[in-house]
Amino acid sequence: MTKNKFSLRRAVNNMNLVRFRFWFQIVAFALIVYGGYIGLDLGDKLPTFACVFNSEGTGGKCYVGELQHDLKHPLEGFVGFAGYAFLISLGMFAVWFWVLNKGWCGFVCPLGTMQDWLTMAREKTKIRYSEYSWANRGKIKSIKYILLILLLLLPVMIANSVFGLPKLPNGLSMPFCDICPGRMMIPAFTGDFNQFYIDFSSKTDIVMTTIGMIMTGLFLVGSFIKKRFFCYFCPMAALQYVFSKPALLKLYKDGSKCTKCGDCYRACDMDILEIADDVTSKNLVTEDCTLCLKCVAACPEDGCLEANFMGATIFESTKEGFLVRMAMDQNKENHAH
Amino acid sequence: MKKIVLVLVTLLVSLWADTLWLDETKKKKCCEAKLGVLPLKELSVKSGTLQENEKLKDLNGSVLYIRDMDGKIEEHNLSGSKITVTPQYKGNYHLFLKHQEVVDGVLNVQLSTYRFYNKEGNLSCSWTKEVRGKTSDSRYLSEPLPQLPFQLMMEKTIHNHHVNCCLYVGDIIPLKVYYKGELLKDVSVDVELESGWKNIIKSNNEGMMMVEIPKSTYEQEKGDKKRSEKLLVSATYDVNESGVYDGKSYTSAHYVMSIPLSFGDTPLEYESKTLAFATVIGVMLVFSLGLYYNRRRKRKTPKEIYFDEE
Ligand code: SF4
Ligand code: SF4
Ligand code: SF4
Repeated sequence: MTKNKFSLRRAVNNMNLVRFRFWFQIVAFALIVYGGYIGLDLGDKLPTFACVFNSEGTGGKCYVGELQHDLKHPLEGFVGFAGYAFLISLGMFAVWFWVLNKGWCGFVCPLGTMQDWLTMAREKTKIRYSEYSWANRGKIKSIKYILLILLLLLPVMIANSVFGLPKLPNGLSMPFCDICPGRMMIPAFTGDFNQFYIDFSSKTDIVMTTIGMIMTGLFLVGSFIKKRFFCYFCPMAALQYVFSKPALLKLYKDGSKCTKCGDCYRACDMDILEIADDVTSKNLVTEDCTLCLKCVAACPEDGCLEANFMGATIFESTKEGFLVRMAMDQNKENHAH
Repeated sequence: MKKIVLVLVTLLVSLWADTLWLDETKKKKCCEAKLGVLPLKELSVKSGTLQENEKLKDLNGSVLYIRDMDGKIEEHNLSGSKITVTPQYKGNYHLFLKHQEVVDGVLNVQLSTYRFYNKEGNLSCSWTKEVRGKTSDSRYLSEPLPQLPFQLMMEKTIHNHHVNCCLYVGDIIPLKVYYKGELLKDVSVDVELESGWKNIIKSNNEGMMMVEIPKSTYEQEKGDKKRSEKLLVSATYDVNESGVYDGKSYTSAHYVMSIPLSFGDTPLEYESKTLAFATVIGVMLVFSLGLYYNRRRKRKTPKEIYFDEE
């Protein structure tokens, strides 16, 4: 029995994470984007881009969409049903999120998966990848918080006169959805291209829908040359991070075992320096981390990095796992040649 | 010739005249309800056409079925002239009105259905539903209501614009007619717009009727995002069946069922898809070319970073 348990753990630690993630993401993508066709309904508070504009196919709904909708109420309404419904929704979003933590980004989010597919396509074409310059990182990181604040504030300012300012035009009622590439890209996977439009009915609509189209163009090219290009700006990631501390799934680091070799950093799609550099913190789920666990798979030190669910290690770095995966990569390269 | 036209017009008018339809008295603005105060919907029943109709003053003898999003059906006997519905949950409600009487040995059954989306629930009983947060709400019904002997049913509309919630000019409404749960194949529906346009649409071999909402020819109505017009579809069916209702016997039955709807001007009037695709492709080209030239200009330094040894 003990031997069996031991070998299962070994098998998990030695697994081909790239392949596991690839198939996990495909299944998650199918459930989120097409689940509605088979009657799947995970509710409307999902901490991932299960786009509400994919009206028939979606297997659940994106909370960022719901949140903007919920906030567009006169303040008096918040004293009643709207306020309670808002709190319940926020609570449920947190509950869903706590199960996987940022793993929703690394394993489930259809926009994240699309970006990974575009990266794969680039790798096939042998085109070199790009990076954000270090000088701009700070600014880039703050964009998602600015977007989050705007998407929270604008709907409130449509329904209410805030600080005596005039109410905003209704065309901004779901401001982030207007510019979210998910609105165009996710329904497109079900054959619905109707979200590609520029609305000329008002100045606000022209501006917002045009930005939406620009974002889609940027998303497609950006994710092709930069891994997880959009995730750096994503307000869902910002909102998630607010709730990240009590989550059940964690990325732990034992700094005493870290040699600062930098393998984890080099494997990280989000270029997170702390993963290699920080040897004092235990919880290494940072604001941009997608919990993809590529760093755990790349780490050559026994028990240095681990994915932990409610105190139990589920996948950890081992010398053996590192060597097994190196051999797999070598094999793949030999085959390719 | 004049006589024939007169007979035809009378026939047509009498056909429309026996149509009853549910009409929302005044649409309540969202979020008016406070905690503890139940949200309320008020409806009246109208008889006749959209252009010429009268409100029924006495609904005595009529029955209202209320179907909630879980498929639970409540039955209410009506009286007075007003229908008041207090929906408990947020979501889609389908109302069905049934009014029947025997006149000259004919059982006249008048039916109408109306769907509305309730934005506010009664929190004390709907909080579990809010926690669950269901997304697939029943905007369209998948099967006829067992309580109705005859039913005109609307299926998911076909459209090529981006709004999924509402009806617009150019949208196609698929309709089917059921008699005692069985699909009728050789039927037709009468379609009438508030602005006066009328038509009769016949079913295809599968019993499906496709009603396309016609484009307005009135200049002043075009391109107005807020314009809303009513549309009434109704189907009739005569059948030889006998029985006794309310102590009166009948030897044939006449069924009529209506669905009142409203629609707006198509978003396609004020949006451009071509320009949208052109923008996406343009941005992709400019971005790619920019990157290409930028890369040629400066050679990229490899992704190498050194960590301080402690
Ligand atoms: S447009 Fe984006 S933010 Fe809005 S519902 Fe869709 S995925 Fe969510
Ligand atoms: S950060 Fe990326 S993976 Fe996460 S929700 Fe946003 S787009 Fe999806
Ligand atoms: S730190 Fe690790 S888990 Fe987080 S994004 Fe980078 S590689 Fe993935």
